[in-house]
Amino acid sequence: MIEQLLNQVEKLPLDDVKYEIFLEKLLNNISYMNEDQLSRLKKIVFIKMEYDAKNFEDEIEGKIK
Amino acid sequence: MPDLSKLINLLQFELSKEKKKQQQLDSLTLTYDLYKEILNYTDNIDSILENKDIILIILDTLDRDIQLTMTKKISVIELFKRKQMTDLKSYSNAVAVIEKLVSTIRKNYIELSMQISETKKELEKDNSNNRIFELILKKIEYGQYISYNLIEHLTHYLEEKKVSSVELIIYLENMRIYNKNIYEKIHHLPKNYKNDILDMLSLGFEKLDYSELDYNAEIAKKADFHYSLLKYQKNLDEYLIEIKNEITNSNDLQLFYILMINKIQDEILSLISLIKDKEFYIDDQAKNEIVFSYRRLLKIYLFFRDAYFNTIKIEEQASPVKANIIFAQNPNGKCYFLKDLKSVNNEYLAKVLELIEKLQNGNLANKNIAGFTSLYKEFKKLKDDQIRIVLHQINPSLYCVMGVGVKKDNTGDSLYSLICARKYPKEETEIIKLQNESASTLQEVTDYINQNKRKGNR
Repeated sequence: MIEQLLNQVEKLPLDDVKYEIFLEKLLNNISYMNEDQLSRLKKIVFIKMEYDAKNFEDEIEGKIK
Repeated sequence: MPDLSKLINLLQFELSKEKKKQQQLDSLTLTYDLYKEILNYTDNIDSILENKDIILIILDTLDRDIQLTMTKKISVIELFKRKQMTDLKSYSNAVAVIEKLVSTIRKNYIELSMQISETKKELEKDNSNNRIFELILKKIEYGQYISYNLIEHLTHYLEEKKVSSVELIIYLENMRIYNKNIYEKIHHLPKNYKNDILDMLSLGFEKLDYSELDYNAEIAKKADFHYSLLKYQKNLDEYLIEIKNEITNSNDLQLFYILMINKIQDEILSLISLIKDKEFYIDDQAKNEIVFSYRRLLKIYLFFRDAYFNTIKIEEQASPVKANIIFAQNPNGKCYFLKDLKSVNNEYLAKVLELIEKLQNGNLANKNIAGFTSLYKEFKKLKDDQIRIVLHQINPSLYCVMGVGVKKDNTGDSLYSLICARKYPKEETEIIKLQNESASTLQEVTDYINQNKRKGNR
């Protein structure tokens, strides 16, 4: 299941609502992951965080101007 | 809800290490300075003997073993030098031991110097990371957005520290969700919310002064009453018309506006002190209410301020026309005004002349001229700062100057009762006589003022 979820999330666009749901499921199963899977998840989390941060920061900047 | 407690603990732990290192550095530096002090006195045995008290006191703090040995050996050398002991071998041994102790002290001193340098380097190396950790902790404490740059920096640090992948992923995801919540909150804030808070924090007010106006206790009571009802006023324009109908005297209207403005300023300032309080700042509901109240009060404040300045402007436009002046005289033909001038403090004299000139040239501001409401209705007063010049208007372009005085809080009424009791000219011949003398009296006044006024600006 972990492999399947990882494969799906990696293919999803970053603004897809399913992204966060799958991500949550993966995090719930983090203790069962091997090193390779953890490395892939780390990348996914980091990319999502960067994507969110850029969007939020643009919006917040626009809002407070 | 994101759980940032682990991250907070980690960052706090990192910062506590810095604090410990700083304490360690302070202690090392103190010890280093003490060793350095001792080494100033240890060039030779004579110097050690001469400064033994200070050396032993410092050693008592640094190393009690060295201190004990040093005390014993110094006694031996002293006995030998006083010839109370002749054993050369014991003397030589004591000198050798002391030299060895000095050498140990020097070694300790050098080691300390190296340790200090190492600790300083470590502190400098950790400094930028620690400042970032402090910033992240502050952001979390105040419920603010943690920027991507900060998270990226923290991630590099955690990777360098070889934090496990599981831990790193959990830290990152919790921060992402935390930021998402903050984003949602900011997204729902009214526009310019942040600007309002920044405005509040940098706001300053010009305190309006009403000492130039005649204080009226009734108006002060009215201001108290209206201020308590202000929050229920929906239409401020209508409210202002009501006020203007209620207070027709210009002095009283200005006083009313200033009292209201000062009260609103005080309330705004107390709101600002709330927003500066951390407990209120991090409570979103309280913060929203404070910003809402601030907006409402600021609107009312600006409204009253505009109303006040409009009143002043209208009055200034309506300044009197050019006027001729004569000076009232006592039954012996002496000018009251000249006599009064001699009791006016020199620092006010320039203002007296200025007021007279403005009256003659017709460019008096309305705040400089006022009537009396009660006993002395037939008189007018020119005023600036504490100066009061009392006039009697003979016709639209002719004033008789009755006298001048300095108004102090407790002399207002007695000043006017004295000047207004003087006789002003009523007969045509008397007026013509004073008109003929006016130019020379004015010259005397000008000369007196120019000779006696205080030089320079007040």
